[in-house]
Amino acid sequence: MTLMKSLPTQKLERWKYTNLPARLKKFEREIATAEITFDGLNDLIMPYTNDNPDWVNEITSRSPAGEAQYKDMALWTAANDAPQDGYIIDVPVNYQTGKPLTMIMTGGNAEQVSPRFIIRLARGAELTLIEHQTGEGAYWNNAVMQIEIGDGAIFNHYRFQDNSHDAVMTVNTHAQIARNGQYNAFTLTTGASMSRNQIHADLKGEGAACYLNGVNLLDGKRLGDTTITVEHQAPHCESRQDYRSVVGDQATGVFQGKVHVHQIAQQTDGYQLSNSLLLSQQATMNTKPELEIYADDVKCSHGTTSGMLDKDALFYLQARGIPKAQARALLIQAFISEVTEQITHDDIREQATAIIEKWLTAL
Amino acid sequence: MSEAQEIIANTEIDQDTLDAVKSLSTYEAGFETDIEMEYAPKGLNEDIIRLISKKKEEPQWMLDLRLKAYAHWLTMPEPKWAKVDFPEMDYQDAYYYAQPKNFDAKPKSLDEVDPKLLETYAKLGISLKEQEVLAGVEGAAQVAVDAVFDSVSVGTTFKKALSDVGVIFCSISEAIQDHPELVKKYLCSVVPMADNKHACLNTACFTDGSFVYIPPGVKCPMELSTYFRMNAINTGQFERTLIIADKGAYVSYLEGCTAPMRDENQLHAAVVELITHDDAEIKYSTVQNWYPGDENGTGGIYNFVTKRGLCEGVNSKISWTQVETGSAITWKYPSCILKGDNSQGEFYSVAITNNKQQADTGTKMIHMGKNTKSRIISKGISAGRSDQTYRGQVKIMAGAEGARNFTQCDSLLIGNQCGAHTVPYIDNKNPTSQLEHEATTSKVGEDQLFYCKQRGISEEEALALIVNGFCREVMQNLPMEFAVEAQKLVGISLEGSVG
Repeated sequence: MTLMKSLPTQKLERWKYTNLPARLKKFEREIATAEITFDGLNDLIMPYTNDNPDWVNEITSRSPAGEAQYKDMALWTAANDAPQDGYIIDVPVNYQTGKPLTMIMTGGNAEQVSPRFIIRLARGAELTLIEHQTGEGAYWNNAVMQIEIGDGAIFNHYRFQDNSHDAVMTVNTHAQIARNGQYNAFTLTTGASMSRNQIHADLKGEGAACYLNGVNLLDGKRLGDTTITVEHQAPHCESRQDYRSVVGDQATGVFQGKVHVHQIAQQTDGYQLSNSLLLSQQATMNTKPELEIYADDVKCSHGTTSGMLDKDALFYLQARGIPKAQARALLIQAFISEVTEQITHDDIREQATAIIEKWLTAL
Repeated sequence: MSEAQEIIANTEIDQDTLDAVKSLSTYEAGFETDIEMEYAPKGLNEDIIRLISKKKEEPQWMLDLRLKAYAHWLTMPEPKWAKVDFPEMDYQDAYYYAQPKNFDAKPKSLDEVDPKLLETYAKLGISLKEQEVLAGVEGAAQVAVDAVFDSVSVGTTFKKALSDVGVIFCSISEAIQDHPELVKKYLCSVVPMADNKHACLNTACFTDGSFVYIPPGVKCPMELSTYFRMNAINTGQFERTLIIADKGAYVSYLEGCTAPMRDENQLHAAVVELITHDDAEIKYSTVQNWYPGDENGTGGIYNFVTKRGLCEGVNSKISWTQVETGSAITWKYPSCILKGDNSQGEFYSVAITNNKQQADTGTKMIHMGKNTKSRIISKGISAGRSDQTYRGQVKIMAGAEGARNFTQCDSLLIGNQCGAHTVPYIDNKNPTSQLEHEATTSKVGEDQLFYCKQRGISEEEALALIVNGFCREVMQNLPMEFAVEAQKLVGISLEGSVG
């Protein structure tokens, strides 16, 4: 249990809404190796070991993202202290395939795993990764994902976080995007008793872009935390964040987003939106969308709303003979679809919609 | 501490200061009044606090409160969360009490006040002579003024007219003596003694400030205003303002502040507490124009202010309007605690930073009562090498059924060396509430500037015009007298930021 020492507490600004140590105290666990399986595109994958290629070592030896500014890399350190396992995905120059790569991460009771993923897309490559997180029992998965996107490369990253409702899931994703590169990420959160989806994107070359979207569906006493930092380090870059949270029962939703525009990053286009729906009296939503801007020729804006379902809309549907529960589900679905409809991959969009519908029926 | 131990110092202006004043015509309030001052010894300790209390002829309970605050202040850490950067403060290297000499025998009326003091205020465009105000343009609004010079209140105008309707408007020192029951009841009730380090310091050593009490059902017949002037060198100003609007009362209160230009940083740690009972309303407006330091960031005021209003009663309302152009560092979050059902809080702010100024300002709206409403409009303009942060919190407690908040923070950047940041916290614990937050950051459009210049308006004038347009929503909320001054200030503050 040496790891407990370096855990972030609520005294840290970026952890003020999420009490990780308290949640972890609730169950015993042992350090283990993560159970990870892949489907398709096997030639791109190799295990992460103690003896890795030089380029991998070069990436892992970099200081953690945002260390200097935020000092909230406690999770990263915790993962570094743990035994090294995980996978390397190396996508060669101009690699194109219509087939997505599927990855399934399964947690087991009383496990503590810290898998590490190093993903490199060389110039002009394109890859779609579908990541499923699932498991049974109480466990803590603290993953680190380091992504390097080369010139003009595109990485589509879909994450279905459906961990056991007793588990704690923390994942630290660090994406570095070169000139005209693109990082498209979508996360659907339906699982884990506590989850922290921490993303740090560096837009390092001109014309780089990142689109971070997500839907958080929270019920019971669960907590879903999305913490994002986007650093605009070059001119003419674009970043977009679009999140929807539906918070029911006694659940808590957290959204912290930060757009940091460096002085060199003129002509930046930054946008951030977090809308949330509270469904019950005991539900809580904490939002902190931040802008930190040092360049004057920029277009940056953010918006956030928080409230309940529109009574008039509900009434309208009921007046037309739609039962209340169904009307409610319909409206929530419409609220979420603003984000899910941005998924360009048909199969994945249908998959996401199906999961959302299932969650809504159970509500 | 014996009276003999007090040092009496002459504040002579040295040639350097005079030269500095001449070379910098932009900060018009930067002159210094050559008046003999009496200081308490430098530094802060229990004896100084006892001295302040004695000078003010305070009752024992007040001294006890001060000493308690002081003891607690020693244990408190410096607040470090704001996005401002300045060297650690040496609290022992400042004077905590300064008053014009011979002020011990308090002037009975304004006629007895040293003419030099009155001149200072006249130069700043504030008339303390009632006759002059009365003889002014017919129909012009009357404003009652409480003028605070360093650590003492110089005089309060229109006292009689106000007391006729039952309004108490006096310096806080007088209030402690004349209305101890009110002061005792409300002081530290909104900003607790140990709220934060700066507020705690203020409680320990506040010297003067204004006290306002509006009795039930009274609409204050004129605007009330306090003018703070920091004149003496190396002094800190710690003023305390307490405004109470009883059931159904209404008051509009204005606050202005200036200081001479100096190379040293001076500390201004004020506390303002507002309380509104059922159906009452307080409108509090500030034009803060402390000396901002020169273009290299030397000198200027550290403005660390705690302002908070409590909407205690149902249907009550507190409205903060601020125009912040001065100070080297601003650390200020006028807040509202919306406790009474249907109460309303408003915050309108324009903050302008130029050169090396730093401002971390915003508001807190704590919704506790049912159907409480709040509105935040913040306009930040950064120019030169300044840094500005909007930091705000909207908190909806579980019991705040039907709470409503609208927040808009817009930032305007002028030049590529400045920074503009937005740090909003939105914590919602009630599903029936409706919260909206919007923020944008942009620069002054080239085409807008071009349009103005094409019509013969100089670049600086055009900029002032555009910026005034950008802040219009807030400026509209200022009382007439202030609105004109504030618009001029916008222009002056931005001088040298284009071209």
